[in-house]
Amino acid sequence: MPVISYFFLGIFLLILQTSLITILPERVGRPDVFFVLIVFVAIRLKFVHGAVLLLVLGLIMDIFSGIFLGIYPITYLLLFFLLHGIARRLAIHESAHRIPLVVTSYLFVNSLLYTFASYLAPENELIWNWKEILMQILLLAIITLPLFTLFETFDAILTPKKGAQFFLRPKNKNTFRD
Amino acid sequence: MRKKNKKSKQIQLFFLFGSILTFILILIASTVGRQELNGPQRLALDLIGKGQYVFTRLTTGVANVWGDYIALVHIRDENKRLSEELDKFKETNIKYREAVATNVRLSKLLQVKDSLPPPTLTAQIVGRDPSLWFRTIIIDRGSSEGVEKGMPVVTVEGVVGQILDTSPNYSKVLLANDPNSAIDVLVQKNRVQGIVKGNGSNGFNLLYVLKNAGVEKGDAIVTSGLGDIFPKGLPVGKVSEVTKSKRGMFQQIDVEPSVDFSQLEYLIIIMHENSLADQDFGKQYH
Repeated sequence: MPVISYFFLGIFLLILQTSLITILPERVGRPDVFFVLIVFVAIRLKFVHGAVLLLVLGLIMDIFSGIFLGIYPITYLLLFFLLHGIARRLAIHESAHRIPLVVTSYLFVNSLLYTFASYLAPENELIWNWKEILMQILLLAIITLPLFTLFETFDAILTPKKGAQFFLRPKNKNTFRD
Repeated sequence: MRKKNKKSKQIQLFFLFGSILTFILILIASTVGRQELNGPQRLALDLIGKGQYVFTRLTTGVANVWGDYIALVHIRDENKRLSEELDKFKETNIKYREAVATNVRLSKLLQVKDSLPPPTLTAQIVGRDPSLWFRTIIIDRGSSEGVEKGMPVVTVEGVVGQILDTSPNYSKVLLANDPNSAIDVLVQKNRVQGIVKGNGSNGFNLLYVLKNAGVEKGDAIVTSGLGDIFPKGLPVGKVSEVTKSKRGMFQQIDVEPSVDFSQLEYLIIIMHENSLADQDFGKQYH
């Protein structure tokens, strides 16, 4: 059930991303809200659920973006495996790590997209536009925390037990004792 | 003895009241027929007048405050009503302006449609590519209306791109400024041929133009009609910079598009003559 709800949330954000947000002037920037959800899903959902959802969202993203089918599902799956791999060693769920996590993931995904697109059509030279990328990174840094809070609220509604545990957990517990 | 004292007190009181009454009667008798107030009357008037003044000021003050409050309430209501009315008029004004702007755009599109080889189909943009690497858009016309892959898409200003994929009701358009787009073109003044490719931002590169070809800044670039995709002579852009490096056979030519890709709204799809639109939907859209 949460996977389906995240799927519809993803579709909603994708529609928002491709229609309403594109109306914003280029100089103001167009924050990639859909990508923040991709990262959230990658670190929040269980392995199989997360992988399937990102694969499906990647397939849908292929329809709305780019000309090479298949590069978004592969990119999102690679991001998912990378984040799951990192999550085993680092505490990336901590709120302090969210902004660096999203920004690094964005650079990783765009590097992959650039590499795939250049490999699939080597005659069409892509230009790595640092100005646009830095602008997007700045916007992501601004929207990450509010959006993560929003998604966590959404997650708490979807999984009440988990949400209740989150809100009712002992505040002054010594975490090093566990 | 006590009885005698009581009687004398009564007599004293009687004389006192009698005197006062007589004084009043004399006062009244002396006042009748006069038009001027006497001293005590003036004193009384002064005192009572003061009281009246204070009372009247108080009453007037309260009345004014109350009146102002009531007026404020009315003014607030009036203000609210006028603000709502103003908002309504503003909204109507915006609608009229938008309608006029849409009318102008559609009139221009109609003019262009008349100049293009039939059949054509007007489409509206419903979505844009959010990525940094690709330049595509989604339009509200699909295969059910005869739209097919490869069909050229134009606006009043010039070439926009071509259809990349279709669904029954929507299509994906590859914009001409995407690095994966290539269009056969001519330099209008001397008919030099080349290929225009998107540079990924809001510009084109004109490729495969030999160094000895006379191309200058400001030259108009139009479609060549080769490949049977774009009709011949559609405006593509203007040369913005020409660079001739020592190495290589070709010039490096930058082209400024005739279309502002960030302002696209309504588009024209140039259909194939034997397309479904021509057969079934031609009457509906022309």
